[in-house]
Amino acid sequence: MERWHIVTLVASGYLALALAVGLVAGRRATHSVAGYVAADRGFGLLAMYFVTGGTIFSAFAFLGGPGWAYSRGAAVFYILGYGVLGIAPWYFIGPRSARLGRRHGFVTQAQLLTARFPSRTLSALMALLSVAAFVPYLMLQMSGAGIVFNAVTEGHVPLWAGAALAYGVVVIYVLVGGASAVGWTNVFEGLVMMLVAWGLGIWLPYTLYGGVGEMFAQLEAARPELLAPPGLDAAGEPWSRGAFASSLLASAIGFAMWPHLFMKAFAARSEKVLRRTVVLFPTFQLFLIPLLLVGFAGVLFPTAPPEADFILPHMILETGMPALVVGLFCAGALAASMSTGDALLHGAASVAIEDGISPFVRLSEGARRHLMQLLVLGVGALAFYLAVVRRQSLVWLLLTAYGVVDQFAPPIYAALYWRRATTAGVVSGLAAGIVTDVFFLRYPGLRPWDLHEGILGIIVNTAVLVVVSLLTRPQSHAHTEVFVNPPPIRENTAEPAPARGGA
Amino acid sequence: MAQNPFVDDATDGGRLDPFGGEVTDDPLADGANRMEHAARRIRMLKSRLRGAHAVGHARAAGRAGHGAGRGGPGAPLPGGRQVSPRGARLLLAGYFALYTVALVLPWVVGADRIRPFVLGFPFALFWYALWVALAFPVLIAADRVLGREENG
Repeated sequence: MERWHIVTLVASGYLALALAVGLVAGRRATHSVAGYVAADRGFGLLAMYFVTGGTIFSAFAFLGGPGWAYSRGAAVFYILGYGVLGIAPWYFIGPRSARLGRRHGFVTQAQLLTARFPSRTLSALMALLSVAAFVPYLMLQMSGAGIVFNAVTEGHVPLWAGAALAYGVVVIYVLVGGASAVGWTNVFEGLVMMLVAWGLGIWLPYTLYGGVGEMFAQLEAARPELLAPPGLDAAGEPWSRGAFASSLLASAIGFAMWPHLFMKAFAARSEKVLRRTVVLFPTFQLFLIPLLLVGFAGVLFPTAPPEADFILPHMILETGMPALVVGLFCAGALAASMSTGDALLHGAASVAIEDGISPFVRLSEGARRHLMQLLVLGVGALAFYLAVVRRQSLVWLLLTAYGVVDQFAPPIYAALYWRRATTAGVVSGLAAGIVTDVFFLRYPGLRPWDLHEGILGIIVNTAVLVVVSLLTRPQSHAHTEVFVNPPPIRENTAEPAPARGGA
Repeated sequence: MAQNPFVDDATDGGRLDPFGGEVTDDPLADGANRMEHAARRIRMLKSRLRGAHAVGHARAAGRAGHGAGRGGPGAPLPGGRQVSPRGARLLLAGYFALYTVALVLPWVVGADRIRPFVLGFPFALFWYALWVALAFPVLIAADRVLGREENG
């Protein structure tokens, strides 16, 4: 039996286990929309911890992180820094959103927003933008899965086939099990991912250089420009400080605004669970460190991968590790990709139906659930096509998606904390922010101080939101009170919430 | 068509269709709501004052060797010091303000350096890891106070 056969067998074993976990977990949920979208609001601390961490740490972290450390050096430190900064506001807005969701039956971010700012345009816009942001992020995950399979089987499994195999499994368990399957597979995938990351991150520098300090000392002598922020840009020239700082800020602001993560606030069992998830999050963030070490270890490695994003599998193969270890690495990387991809697929389908279709067409609960399942297939197929045909750097794909998601921050904060915000202000601000983001994405040379387009969009978005809100008639005090000062709900006592079609 | 969750329990006359238009004021109903809101705030402040008294008594009892009370809005930290929810919020805000400057603009605080190596890491990498790691105890400390307040 050849080496790549063993690797493929180990990876397939992992995929079979993930599928089994997803299918079994999916049987625990009810057949309602709340069951499919929000796991019947039953996630405890363990599930929430891994759902949050696994959803955020993806193929981007597992392959793109080492890829950037290898090719752009200290530029990658922005990835290490933004997660904790991004999750901190969640300590306050997460429980508040969960409280509102539990009381009024929200299962998506846009439902919360349109309850405060009644507007079909806003609902449709949120659905459209969410799906638009999900697709490049999902492409990234699929590319990651394909890259891993292709590399560890020494090219015997083409990139498209690897992506199809991994995401075939994901589509099945998301279709059948919805949020419950996503949650419990994330626990399994998160454990595999962390074990593999720490194992490799410690083992490789010791094997190749005799230790982490030794590795960095050699790197300092040969390539000192890689070790101090802001690092290098894609062309190998020094990255601008403006781009480094604004990439970190844009990612931090957008972090808690991702609809698939935001929706998990509605899936948590209690507000306490959400707060504890935030408290524990830095422990998950530290898991990036070994991955960065692997990327740095690749800089002085004698051979180079075909692309920077391949550095991790390239080193695994070139250091002559046993086939079983290579297979385990493959499982860890697939876990990283799938733990995010499943939440994205599920989130895209849920948001498209609940926010894009339901406000316009009366649908039964069963029909909504079936449509969501159909869309899981549709969005998966679209992202797969784009991932295989149009390949981009993994980190570039993520930064592009963050620009869109950043624009949700002003409306969300306004909905929960600013009484004077109005529907006209929020809709016009969101539209202006998106136009700005897309404009500077299209014409990057025009960005002032090389700032990330998401940050420029937020500045315009917030300014328009404030000015238009102050120029339009305020909302009633009683209405804003519901959102700005929601009374607490006793833990573990779900209130009846039929308002959103039984959600 | 999905229903606006706030239409069914509307108490003022100004609420419109969920996706049809702005939810604006009926002046009389809004005035009544504002008064009710103010009354609720006063009740909440009174209850906090009572809580602070209780904590004061508990601290006195603690000094006398009876341990700190657990029912107030603050929470005891190691050493018996009480931290108010406001203090905990300030701790969080302060930490994350510093975190933002330290990591978004590392060159401003002189952290964009390679030397000295700490634990084998170049200084800049150690700097980033340190701030991330420190966030954990800071969040735990804040949660001890704020979590208790939120849970009533």
